[in-house]
Amino acid sequence: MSAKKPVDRSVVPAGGSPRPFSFPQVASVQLANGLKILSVRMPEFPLVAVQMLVPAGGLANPMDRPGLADVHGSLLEEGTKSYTSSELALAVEQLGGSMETGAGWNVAFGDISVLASSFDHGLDLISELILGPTFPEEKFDWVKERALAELMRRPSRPSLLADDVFSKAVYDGTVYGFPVKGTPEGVGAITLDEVKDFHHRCVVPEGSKLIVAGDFDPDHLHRRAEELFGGWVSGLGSGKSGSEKTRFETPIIEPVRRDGVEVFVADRSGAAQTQIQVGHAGVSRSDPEFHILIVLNVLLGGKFTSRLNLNLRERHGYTYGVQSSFARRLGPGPFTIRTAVATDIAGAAVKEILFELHRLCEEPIPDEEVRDTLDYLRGVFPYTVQTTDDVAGRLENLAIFDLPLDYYDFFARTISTLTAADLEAAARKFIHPDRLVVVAAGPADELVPQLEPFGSVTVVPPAG
Amino acid sequence: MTTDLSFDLERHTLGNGLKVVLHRDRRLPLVSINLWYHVGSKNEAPGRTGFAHLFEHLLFQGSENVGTNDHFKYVQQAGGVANGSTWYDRTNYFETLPSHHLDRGLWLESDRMGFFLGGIHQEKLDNQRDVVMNERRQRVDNQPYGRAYEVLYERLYPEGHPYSWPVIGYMDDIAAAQLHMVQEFFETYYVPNNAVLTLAGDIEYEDALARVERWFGDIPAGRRPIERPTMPPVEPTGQQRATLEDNVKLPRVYIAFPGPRYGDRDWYAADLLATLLASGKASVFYQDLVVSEHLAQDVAAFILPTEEPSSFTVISTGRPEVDPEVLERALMQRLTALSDKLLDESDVERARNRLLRYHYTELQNLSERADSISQFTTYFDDPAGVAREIERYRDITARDLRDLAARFLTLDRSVVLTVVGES
Repeated sequence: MSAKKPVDRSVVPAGGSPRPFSFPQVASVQLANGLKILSVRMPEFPLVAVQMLVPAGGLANPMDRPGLADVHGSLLEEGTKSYTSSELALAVEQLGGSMETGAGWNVAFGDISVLASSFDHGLDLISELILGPTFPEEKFDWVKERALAELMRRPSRPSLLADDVFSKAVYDGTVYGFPVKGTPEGVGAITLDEVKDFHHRCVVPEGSKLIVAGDFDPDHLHRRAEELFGGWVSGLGSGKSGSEKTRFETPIIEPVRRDGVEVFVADRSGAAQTQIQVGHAGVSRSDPEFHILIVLNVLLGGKFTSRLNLNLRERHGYTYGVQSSFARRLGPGPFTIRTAVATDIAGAAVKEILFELHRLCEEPIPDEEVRDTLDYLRGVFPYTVQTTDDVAGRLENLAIFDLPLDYYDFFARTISTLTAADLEAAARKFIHPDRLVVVAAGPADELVPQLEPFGSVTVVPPAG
Repeated sequence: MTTDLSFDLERHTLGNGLKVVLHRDRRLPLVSINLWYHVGSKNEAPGRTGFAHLFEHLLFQGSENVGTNDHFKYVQQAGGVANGSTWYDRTNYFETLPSHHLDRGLWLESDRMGFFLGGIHQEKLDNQRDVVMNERRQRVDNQPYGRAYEVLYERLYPEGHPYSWPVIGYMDDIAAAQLHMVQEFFETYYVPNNAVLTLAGDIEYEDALARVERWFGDIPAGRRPIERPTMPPVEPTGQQRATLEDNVKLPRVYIAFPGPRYGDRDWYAADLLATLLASGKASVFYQDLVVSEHLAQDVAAFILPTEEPSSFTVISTGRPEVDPEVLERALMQRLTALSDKLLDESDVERARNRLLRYHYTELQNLSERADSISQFTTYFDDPAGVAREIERYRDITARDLRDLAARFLTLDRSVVLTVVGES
């Protein structure tokens, strides 16, 4: 290329040819007790991310104890056979590491990120968290009090308030109807024995996954993992005699049946803005067509140039941003659209959201839009797997949903064959503009008249 | 502990004054393009706050050769990611693209540097003003504790000090932005001699420089003088106090002190101190206030990386039953005691190791690395300083932290803000 040639600014510069890229090789090993180890070596930076995932997520919450998995997850790092809570924090952080335990909907986790020089120490500590928690009573009280304080302040965040009202409307009567962090009543009722029992039932090697990404020696990892976790047996049967402990079984989530659009206004008088959440129950991440939903979602509300963002933000100036998502859950998680708008145009914003949903389900999708969406998804992939944390997150996705080790290559290959007709069919099958829940969190007196045209309106008064 | 990070880079200055830094790392087939304009909210005047940020939004609304919504479209259809952000001292624009689309990114950035004004009109301004007003509502006015920082820093800095107003600006000022202000602002600050362009990733130096020259070389240097605002000194005026009522369930205490400027040895000491006190579960304040005394739900501390003298801020949310005055006393006693008693060297070492891991983690991401390079070039004219920054913490001792606390963290320099639930 010559530097002297004048540039033509009137056309988009042609690109060269792409350098091929694949997700790095995933090593997978399974121990005799069922624990699976997924790892990717990234020697460029002296860091390692280690995660243990166990089947003790919020999906395992009893209906009368929402938040149990969360409290249990938080307690994993609050004292073990060899360390008090503070000693554990110090053991990790003295060497520059960080540690977190907790639970999401799908799994409970113990995460440790360390400098590569402390990798062995990090693995030892992971085994402490998972195999050796002692659940001290005083720490149980402390964790519970903190969890209750978090629940107390939750409704003052508009996005959380809208999400909680939405979840109840869509999933009432199932564990998905509560926040994964639970409710004040549910968390308040949890006893220490319940936490210990939950641990015995759910923290088992079968279905657990150890994930490692970063600068480490794979042979060494597999040897150490066998030493640390090879003797891990499920706690079942070793509990109190006569108790009928059984392993946790995944509940069937039956969302609320609904014909038509139903509106819920979470009243926040005096609020400076209205938070909107629209959607319905979706499907499990394990659905064989989920990869099509990933594509469809990007087109609808998963990138800056999505239909929703171009309409609500760039055409109308209604919002700073709007996003859609299909939640990645073991059970049928929600399909949602979220945005925050000035209260006086909340009705107009909902109208545009419904318009886009109908358009997606009823009108042909132009080929160019399909191509742009696929090009974006394929091109952006290397960007999303740069760091040890990025790669650990990708492994987590493989681990939780038992996806094949070459899933990311499969995804790139498979979406390349998708056509407008495939996306149109998926939209009709998975998106239901005629069976929606619309939640608006803001001043009810201004919102109710604007939202009545869309469906029956229920006002949810502020809690407490 | 190893802190070796070899950074392969080259620097150039084009004839029009544009500083160019090239950093080759071929691990991934990506290139990050990162452009810093040395203008931010500190260049605004009272009554016109928020303009630098609104202007950043306008720069995504196309230029002479790029249609209104086409900036993001062209980036995303190539598999790229783009954004921008505004800060007190600078505005940055960045995209990461598959490396074979380097020209596309250079075209987009050079078109808005050289040919922006031909594409701007009233309708675009009106639209983005609405978007930004919603951004302010979403981030500030409709969030619990959302207005706390502006109330705090209005009091920490003297009236008229360019850091005393929020980067996003006040609502009335955003609403009052006019089209003629756009042209003047652009012609003054959005010129090659007020910018740094960094390319990081899958590039070859000679080829990349030729491309940069092709796209940016013809853009003329600016002709207006670039004013750098003067910062009035922040003198201790005795403790200032304020209370803010908000839609919150848990009380929160903010304590701020004027601090050193980014790049100074004191700044790194302050960053180390903030980490030692309140970053991580083994940190001193977390163990004291959250774990042992059950006073706080959470605690945090930070020093802002500003080009001019900064601020050191400590924040703690109280437990529901705790009187915020009790929490404030507990924080203030500990902060003012730092000048009397030496901290443990083991705590200093813990904080240093934490920063080391944090530093590596951040630099793993190509876009973050490019941004750090632009930052070091803009502020210090030293792109290679990014790789050496972690060394700045190495020789800081407990004694240095005590000395820092004695000079900066004193009662008469403090501003205390308490946020409580609405009565």
